[in-house]
Order: sequence, then C-alpha cells, then structure tokens
Amino acid sequence: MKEWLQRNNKIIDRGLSLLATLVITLFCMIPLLWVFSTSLKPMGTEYLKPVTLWPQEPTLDAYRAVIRELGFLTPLLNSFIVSLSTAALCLVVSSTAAYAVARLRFRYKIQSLMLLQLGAMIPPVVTIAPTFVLLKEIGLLKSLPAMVIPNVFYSVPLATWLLASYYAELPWELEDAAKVDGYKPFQIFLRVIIPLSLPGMFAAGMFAFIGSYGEFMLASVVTLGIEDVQTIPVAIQNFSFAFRQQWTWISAGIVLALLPVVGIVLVFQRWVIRGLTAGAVKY
Amino acid sequence: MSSTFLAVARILLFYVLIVGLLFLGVVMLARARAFAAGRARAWRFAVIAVGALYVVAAVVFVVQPALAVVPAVLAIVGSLALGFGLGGLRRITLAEPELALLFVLPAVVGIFLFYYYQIAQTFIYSFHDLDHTTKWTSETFIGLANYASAFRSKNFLSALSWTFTFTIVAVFFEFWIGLGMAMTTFWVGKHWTGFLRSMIIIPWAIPPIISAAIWKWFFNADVGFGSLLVQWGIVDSVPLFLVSPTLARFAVILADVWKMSSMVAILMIGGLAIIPQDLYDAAKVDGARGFYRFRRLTLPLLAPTIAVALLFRSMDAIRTFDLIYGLTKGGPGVTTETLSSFAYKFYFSRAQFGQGSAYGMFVFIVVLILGFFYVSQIRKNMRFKGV
Repeated sequence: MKEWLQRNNKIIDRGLSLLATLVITLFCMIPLLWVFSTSLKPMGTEYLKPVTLWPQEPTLDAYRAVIRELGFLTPLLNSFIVSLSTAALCLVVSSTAAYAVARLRFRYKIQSLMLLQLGAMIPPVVTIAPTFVLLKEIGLLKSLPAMVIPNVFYSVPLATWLLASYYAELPWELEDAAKVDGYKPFQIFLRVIIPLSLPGMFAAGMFAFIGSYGEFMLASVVTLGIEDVQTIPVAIQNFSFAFRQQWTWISAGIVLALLPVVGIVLVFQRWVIRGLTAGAVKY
Repeated sequence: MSSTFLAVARILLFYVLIVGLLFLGVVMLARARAFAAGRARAWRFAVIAVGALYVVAAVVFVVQPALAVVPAVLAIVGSLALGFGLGGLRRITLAEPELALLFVLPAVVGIFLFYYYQIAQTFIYSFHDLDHTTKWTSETFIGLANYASAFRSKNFLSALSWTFTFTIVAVFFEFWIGLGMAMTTFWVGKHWTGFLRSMIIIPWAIPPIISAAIWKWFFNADVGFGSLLVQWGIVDSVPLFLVSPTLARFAVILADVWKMSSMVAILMIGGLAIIPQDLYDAAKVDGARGFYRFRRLTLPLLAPTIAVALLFRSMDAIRTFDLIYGLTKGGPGVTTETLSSFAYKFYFSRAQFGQGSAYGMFVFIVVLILGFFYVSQIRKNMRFKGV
C-alpha cells in the first residue's frame, strides 16, 4: 500500500488538487449557476416539477423581455453613471490625501488617517437617516448625484488607505531626483507619483466602483418610487417584489447585473487580493 | 433637472468654500503660532483661543448649522489677523506642510460631513421623541427614554441576541472555510491558482442585495433547492427554508457564509503569501508533517492576519442589513431581524426616527468596541514616513 502510494504520488496529488478545485468552484458557483439556468428557461417553465438543473430548450427570451419590456437598461446605465463618477471623484480626493499621508511631512498625520479609518467603521444604519434629511433639505432627492456624493466619501477611506500603502512603496530616489531638477512637491505628485501609481489608482477606483455598484441602503431611500433614477440593486429588489412570479425575468436581470462585476473580478483578480490586504497585511 | 444641477452646484460650492477657508485659517494660525513663541504670553493665549473657536464652530455646526457661521467667521478672521499681525504680510507658500494640509482637507471635510456630522445627528435624534419628523429642535427632549424602551421591547432583544448569534456562528464558519480555501489556492498546482482565486473572489464582488435575491430563489419553497432534495430522495418533505424559524436562520447564515468566506479567504491569501517559504522547507527537513506544520507554523505566523480578518468580519457581520432585507425581510416574524434591519424599519417604515436612532446607536457602540481593537491591530502594519 505504502509503495503504491509513493509510486503514484504525482497522480494522487494531481487528483486531489483537481478535486479541491472542483469542490471550491462548485461551492462558489452553485447559486450563480442556479440563477443562470433559470434565466435560460422559457417563461413560466421555472415552476414546472420535477425541478430540472438545466433547461431542455435554453432560450434568451427572458433577457429580451427584461431589456425591452422592463427597461432594464435604465438602471444598468444609472448604475454605471453613479459608479463611474463615484470612482473618478473618489480617486481625486483620495489620491491627494494618500500622497500627503505617505510622502509628505506634517503634524497630525496619523490622526487624520485614523479619522478616515474610524469614520469608515461607522455603520451605514447610523448615518442613513440624517443623510436622507440632508439630501432632502438641499433638494437632491430622487437624482443620481444624491447617490454619487455620499458614495464618494463612503469609498474614500479604503481608497486612501490602499493608495497610501502603494505610494509608500515607490522609491524615494525618484522624488529626490525630481527635487534636484527643481520640481515643487505639487509637481512631483502630478508628474512623478501619479504616472508611477496608475495600477494602484486603477485598483482603488475598482473598489470604489464595486462598492457603489452594490450600495443599496442609501439608493433605496433616495430613489424611492422613481424608476428613472433607480440603480441596479434597487431595481433587482423591486423586481423580486413586483414580478414575484416571473423568476426567469428576475434571473435574467440578475445575470445582466452581475456581468460587469464578474468581468472585473476575472480580469483584475490579482488587484483585488492585493488591494483588500493592504493594511491588513504587511507587504 | 436644473434644480438638481443647482443643488449640486450649491453643495460643491459649500464644500470648496469650507476646504478653502479651513486651509487659509489653519495655515495662518500655524504661522501665528510659530511667531507667537517668542512674544508675550497674551499672544500665545490668543492663538489658543482662536484655535478653540474652530472646535466651537464644528460643535455648533452639528447642533445648529446656520449658527455655526458666527464662530467660523470669527475663527477665520482671527487666524488671518493673528497670522498677518504676528508673521507679517508674506504670501502663503505651498511648501510641504501646507501642501499636505491642502491635500488632506478635502477627504477630512468630506468624511466629517458624511460620517461624523451624521452620527452626531443620529445621536441627538436618539434623545428626542421624533415621530414622522426629524426636526428635533421643535420636539420634546426625552433623555434616555428611547434606550429604556428598547430594552423593554421583546422584538429588540430578540434582534439583539440574533445579531450576536448570527455574527458568532457566521464568522466562525467563514473563518474556517475562508482559511481552507486560501490554503488550497497555495496547495493546488500552479496552473489552478489563478482560476481558483478568481472563483473565490466572485461571491465577494456580488452586490449583497443581489446575492440575497439569488438565495431567495435558491430557497424557493416550490421549486428551490429543497424540492431537488426531495427529488433525489434525501429528505421526505420539502424543507421550508424561509418559513420555518430555525431553517430561516440557517438560510441566512448559509447565504452570509457563502458570500463572506471569500472575504476571509482574500485576506488570508494575502497573509499566507508573506510567510517565507524557507520556514516550511526547514520544517519539512525536520520531518514536521502536515497538521503539525499547520498548527505550529502556519497558525502562529498568520495570527496578525487572523486577528484583522476576525475583527473586520465581526464588525461587518454585526451591521448586516442588505442580506436580511433582501432574503427574509427579518421574517418569519422577527426571528432573523438584525439590529440594522430592525432600525431601518423604524426609520423608513414607521418613520419613528428617535426610536430608530436609539436602535442604530446600539449597532454603533458594538462596532466601536470592536473597532478599537481593529485599529490598534492595523496600526502596527502602518509604516508611512513620519508615522
């Protein structure tokens, strides 16, 4: 037995690797595949028994219905507008703050960083009511900026942290060389740091994007009943109540809504891990 | 449309104005401070007094925004007068400290406006009897009555205990599954690593409310996973996942574990990646085998990451809202109601902002306690210039 194990060591290792990969993939994918298979079923057949794992005649009817009849492109577009502008504005605010924290000397550095990090810990349920009141008072309810502006600052702490740890790793020699050439600190930031940290900026922007793409609590109270400004999470939530029976449609909506985030994750997997572990783990 | 544009322009103007004035004031005050050092004591007191005015302005802003203009203007004017009076009429140069201030202020002001100002408001709300209104200045101050009635409410106590149970159970499973998944990505052959990590990250990236909708369909009473179990002959009758209290709680935990194990795994992958490989090689030479290596080598070296991951996840789990709202709406009854979803209902279904705020503050207090441990833990990992 022992000899046999040793002789076939490689094959067993391979087999076990494959098995582990399969188990984890199934664990992560089953709910998604479940919804995906529902979205391909012809309308109404999702309630037929016995339950089938895969439709016998896959069809894209549900997708057509969601886009044409339910106007699903509107929330999709809204979500993109909100998330992209959130990411862009967040980068402006957080890249400068991160540069100051990582590269400039000033008093109260650690305090300002802690102010940001502690702020990010405040649970949304504690800030939601006054934020709603604030947005109402300045007349911003039921519009896309009402989601963009708070979301920017919701994503600033993480982005600042991430960018600061990225900037801190850039070689100081570059900065010294730029100083010798007569660059002022602001010019160093614009001409040396920013071009060098584009990957980090990209990762920070991605986190802001994913965060605001999935933000629900604020969006749900800000867009109350106005379909034109709904974002994806609100639309999906409303679908699953308004079209309680039409799960092929809802599933199709979910699949469409997930395409952008899943695409981002598949392409930028490395960055997600590096980004989320910044600060939690020393690099 | 144009009214939206106007509102955005107004809030932007307000923001830029605050950042600009604060920058000007603080820089001038710093200049005054530097020059007051050699002068009479009265000057130093003046500098401190003007500095205190900023704090007063911030506090008044929380209570009565319009009134804050007075101390704010006084503070700015005072800073300018002291700065120019003591330091002379030199221009402000954008050297390192000034630039740093200008760079940090936009983030700090924004965080103040959207986090600290808001939580101060909620704190004030929680001491007032607010029904269908948030204008607390014209409502009665009732002290701790909202907090007292919270403890008399059976539903609240049930939400409180469920929130803790949920957090402990969910984080426990998330930790072990996450750690297992993370270690597997290092253990499987090189060509699987990237693929496996992508698969692990996907649940994390899915918007929480959408993941709740997915699980709602998965647990559907008629044609969900339960019916499949019956078809396969594993159980006799369809388990009513979202109807029976015990199963509903199980469903909520399962959905959270599915989504958030990824989060733990991501952190653990980061932590495992920095453990030096030669330590393992040395252990192998010494003849240490699998489980022993894990217990004596991996776990101790991973301890800081584990601490961060556990604290981070607990803080997150305690404020769980989207999942509950999307999957069970707190039902059946109030069995799966968490503090956050409970407070949300008081705000936006019943419009009892005072009572809801008191409930919200409970979430905050718990998170705050965990947050202190969290900050002291991540503080060790910071190594920025001058920190």
